[in-house]
Amino acid sequence: MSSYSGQIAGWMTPAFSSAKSVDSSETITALVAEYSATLYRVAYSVMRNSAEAEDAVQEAFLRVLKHREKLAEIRDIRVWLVRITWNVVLDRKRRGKTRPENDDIADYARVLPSSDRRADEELISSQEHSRILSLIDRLPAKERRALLLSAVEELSTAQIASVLKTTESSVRSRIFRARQELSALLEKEGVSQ
Amino acid sequence: MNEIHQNQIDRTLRRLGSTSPAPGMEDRILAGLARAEAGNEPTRFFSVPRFAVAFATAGTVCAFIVAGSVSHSHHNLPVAPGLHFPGEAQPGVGAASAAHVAAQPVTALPKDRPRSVLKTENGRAVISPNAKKHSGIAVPKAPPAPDRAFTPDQR
Repeated sequence: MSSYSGQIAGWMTPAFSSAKSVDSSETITALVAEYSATLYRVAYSVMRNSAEAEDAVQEAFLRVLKHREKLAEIRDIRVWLVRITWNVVLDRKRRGKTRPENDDIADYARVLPSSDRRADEELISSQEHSRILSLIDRLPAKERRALLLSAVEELSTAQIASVLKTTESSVRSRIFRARQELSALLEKEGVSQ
Repeated sequence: MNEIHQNQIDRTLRRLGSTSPAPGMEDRILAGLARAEAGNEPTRFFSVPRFAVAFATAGTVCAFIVAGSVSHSHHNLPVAPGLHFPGEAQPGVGAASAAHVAAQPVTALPKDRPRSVLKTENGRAVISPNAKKHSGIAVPKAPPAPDRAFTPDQR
């Protein structure tokens, strides 16, 4: 009965609802301006493809648009957005609909603009980068996810813990273990090479 | 842990975490959201009078059902109203006031008279002096025989 009356009230006051939608669209526009870069980095850390990461951010904001009525109830909007993006990215990875990781030179140029570095240094750095990323992919899921989120500078340990639905101490120990295992893998790789 | 490896890991993570999106990503996202919003608009427009549309549809369907039913029953009835032949099936909706003919012929009783004869103007029934009254309890008119008379000695 109350839902009906709510619906009827909604129909009776179209001006109010349109004002509300304008308000929420302004909020979403502000969110895009403030958080899209962070969310892109979160998506890119898993996807390693700029187009794919951008699609993931787009999908995350579409989900926000779908659930815009919840915006007022969200306490930490950054964590909420990162969690949505993180879920989108993991869903896409799980479904295997990802495009191959790109070796696009334009992406590398965007990653770290370093005009003072020589081309051969850049190439070695890129190779090292790719090698370590492939080793990160071999880590257990929990450690890998904590490590990848720790790479996003804007996220604190508490926020990572909130995204991964665990405690801060657990996040710290996961990152520590990830680095340890990664170091061991690099050691092994170095010996084998 | 190996210091060199840790530095390599740090560099990789820094590089991974400092990627920046292609220019114009915000605009593309906002355009995509606007498209999605525009795509949802017709649904929202139709959802507003949905209740009214449902009511109108239900009303129309009910009207059609009633009209169809009445029309169906009228088509099956004889053309001349009131002339119903015994034994003929009368399907459909019929009015309570319609003439109903008994299946068997009804014969009038020999001394039958309309009920209105008994009614008078003041609304009270009047018993005619010639009317046969119920005899009530039969009381013997003759006194009892002397031998069967009731005497105080017998008590």
